[in-house]
Amino acid sequence: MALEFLDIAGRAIEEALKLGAEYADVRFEQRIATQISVRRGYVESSGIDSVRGFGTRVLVDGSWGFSSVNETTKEAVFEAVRNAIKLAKTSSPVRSKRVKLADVEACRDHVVAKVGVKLDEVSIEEKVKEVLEADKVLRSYSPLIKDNRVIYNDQTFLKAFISSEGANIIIEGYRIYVRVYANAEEAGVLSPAYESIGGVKGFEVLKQGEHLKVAERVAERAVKLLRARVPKGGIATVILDNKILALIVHEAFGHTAEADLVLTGTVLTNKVGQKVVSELITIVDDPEPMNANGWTPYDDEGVKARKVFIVENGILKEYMQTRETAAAMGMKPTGNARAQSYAHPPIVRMRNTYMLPRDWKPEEIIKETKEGYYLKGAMGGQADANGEFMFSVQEAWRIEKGELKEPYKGVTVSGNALNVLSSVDAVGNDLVIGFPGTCGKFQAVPVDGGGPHIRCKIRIGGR
Amino acid sequence: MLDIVEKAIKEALKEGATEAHATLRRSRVCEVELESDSISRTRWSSSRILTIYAIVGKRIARSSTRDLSERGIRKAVTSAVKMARVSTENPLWSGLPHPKPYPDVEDIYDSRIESLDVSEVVEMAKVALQEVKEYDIRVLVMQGRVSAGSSEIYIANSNGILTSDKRTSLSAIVVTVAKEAGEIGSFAHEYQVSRKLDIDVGEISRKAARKALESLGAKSIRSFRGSVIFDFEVSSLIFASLAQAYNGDNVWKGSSPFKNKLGDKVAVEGLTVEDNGIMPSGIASSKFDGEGSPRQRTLIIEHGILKNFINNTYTANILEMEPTGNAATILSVSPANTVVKPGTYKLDEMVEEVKRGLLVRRFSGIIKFQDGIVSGVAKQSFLIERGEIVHPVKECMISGNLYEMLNNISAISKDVEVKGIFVVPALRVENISIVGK
Repeated sequence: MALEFLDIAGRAIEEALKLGAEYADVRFEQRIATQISVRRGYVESSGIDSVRGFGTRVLVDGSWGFSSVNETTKEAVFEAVRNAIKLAKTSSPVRSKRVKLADVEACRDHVVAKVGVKLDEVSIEEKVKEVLEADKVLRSYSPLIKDNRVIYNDQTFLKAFISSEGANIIIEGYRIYVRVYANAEEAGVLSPAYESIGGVKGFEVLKQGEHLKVAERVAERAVKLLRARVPKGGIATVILDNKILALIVHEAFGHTAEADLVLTGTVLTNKVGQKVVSELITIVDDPEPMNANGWTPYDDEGVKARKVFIVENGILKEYMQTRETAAAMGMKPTGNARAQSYAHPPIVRMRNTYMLPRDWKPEEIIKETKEGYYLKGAMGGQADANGEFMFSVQEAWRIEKGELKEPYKGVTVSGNALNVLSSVDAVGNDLVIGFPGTCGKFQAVPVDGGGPHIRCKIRIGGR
Repeated sequence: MLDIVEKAIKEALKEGATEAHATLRRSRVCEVELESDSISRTRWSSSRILTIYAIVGKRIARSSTRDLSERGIRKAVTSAVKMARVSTENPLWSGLPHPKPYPDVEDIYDSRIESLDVSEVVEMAKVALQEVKEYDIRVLVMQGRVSAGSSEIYIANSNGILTSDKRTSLSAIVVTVAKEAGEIGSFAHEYQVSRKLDIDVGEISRKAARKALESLGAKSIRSFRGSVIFDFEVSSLIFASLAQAYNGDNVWKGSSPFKNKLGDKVAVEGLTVEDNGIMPSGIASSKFDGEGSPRQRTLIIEHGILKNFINNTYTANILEMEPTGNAATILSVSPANTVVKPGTYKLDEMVEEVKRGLLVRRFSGIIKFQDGIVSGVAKQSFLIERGEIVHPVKECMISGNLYEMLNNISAISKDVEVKGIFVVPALRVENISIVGK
């Protein structure tokens, strides 16, 4: 299939150049995805989705045109090329600036992700069996667990990229993503809990029983929080666990360092070289960790991806870029152009974003805290380009004189990312990268993140 | 195209499925995106997806493909049947729906949208940019999008359902921000979506620009407990969460506090909510739902009393109720148009009665239907004192409980606005905790 594609893509690029494109690229993608959703002992829904199609992007008169089709005939791809050219031409007069692309090396490569057990070599029976095992762990944990779900997703993918500059890249890989939900109930009070695992990994994740450990933790949390109260609101000293930190680093801070948003105006616009957060903090966006969910050897513009030190010791160093934003800012591309699928044009996206660890042991941070909360696990939320965020925390523990006291639930944290990260006075030594998720900035792409435990000041919402 | 879904059903039965359902969706979309006062990207996309559900006894599996060749269809059917075979039984499965007469639904397709040239969509985007610029020089378009789409849906099942429908939609969203003397206001956004070619892009832009300007000069406030007026957009978020609570799927699974509450008073008497899948030009209106059952009107809350849940055939059977034409798929349920009955108040009358409170136009946070927790940042909000709007407020947190709020509604606006699938009035709710500086 890949060879057949390369031939059609090559001819589509010739056609685009013939029709007046200054630049053209074609992406082809095929993906087979399996989903198994189990609740209360039986498979509630399951499916195999097969996706494939072409997306083509052209630059005419300094203006972008993009189009996609999921038919794979030469005729359909050529029609897509013509539509892209037309869009580029008609929108060119309404653009305030002509698009320029930063120079990059036209790479030629074929990369295959290294995973333990290849997902397309595992039978559906075995996948179903393992998901049912996790369901069993949840149900047998306590009769108070009244509802639960385990949703398993995996995919085997092939992406190819060809450009008029001579780039030719094929990436093959696998992804696995398991989400575990439990809902405990007692005397009319509901208590939900959730956790997920996954990444660019194979079936070894389930063979090693990671999903069963997660199921146990989720069940335990749902039951434990049944009788927990909601705390009083206000500013508090808090210790954030790796997961909440990952969310703040990605959602509230990371997005504000994405060059497209920086250009429209974020809290980090025009701040390169300035101290923006505590000097204890270094934050990177890393394409590398092979098994992290945001693994990106080359981005969807064919740029070889590199690690971006967004903040180093509190100083803003660099933004995440596409070729277009890099040229607009006079900076270097970073390999952060990513698209949801062949049917979407690439935009600036994060990959695996995390805070680097320092020297505190997490238990020492708690011990050295007189009064505050230890916050664990997050359940989503929102953030703005001005760094303001609001996240929902799964579990909170009151700290008194260095000891964990009673648990609380229904806690939200909010504030401004720069203020919160400036208030950090302790950074743990326990780096965890492993909070796979799907980032939804206009398009959904797989990302990962992490960091150590940290202590900071944050606004808590409760009663 | 109907022959494709019919063929898929026949193949599935031949492969050993005892029941089968097929949906074929063809869609086209042309989109123009705005960024920093300019067009940034354009997109044209066409797709065709065939989804097959194969049921073997009570074992259910799905398969989808983009390859509509004979071979592609057969492969998808085979993998669905194979996956169903290795799955477990779903003890609650009670069978696919049977054919029923479909309602006539007006104004969900406009051939003018389908035949729009890409240059016409670009033109609308241009108007959106120009109108903001002309409204006030201090306002910028941060982001925006004009999108025109059309789709055809074909559905067949092994009980004899065989039907199709055409739908169009046109939407425009404009996100603005005002800047003055180094101050950056809170983002404002405004959008419209319609089935017809009747969107006024200029009006959307002017409204978005006005909202952005009004938020300049925001001041911090102290924490207090008081009345909150939720403007249309925030009101739509409240009803979106509420729709999860009366979703039959969440009811039978026990995650909704509305289970066992049919016939109970759950809100103030002034609140009446219906789920309407057949209203003319409704964004979620159609002849049939995702399983091929007829769409309908369903009264959910009448004068504060919980009357019904929304269901597909599967969840209706579990709850021993009637399906309401709300199948997203044969296994999942989603709301149609959520229509809230208007009240008697003009917006300024709602403000006049407030001693101390907040008007909230945008909310960034959570509204959890499971436990009712409402917590988040009020954006684009204004302090109200002694019946008057005093000044815009720097972001502050509001928190409360959805189910308590339903019983603390003190005013419902006379005007309603269409916010996507929500047709909602503004609400005034008492006794909400507002956390400022």
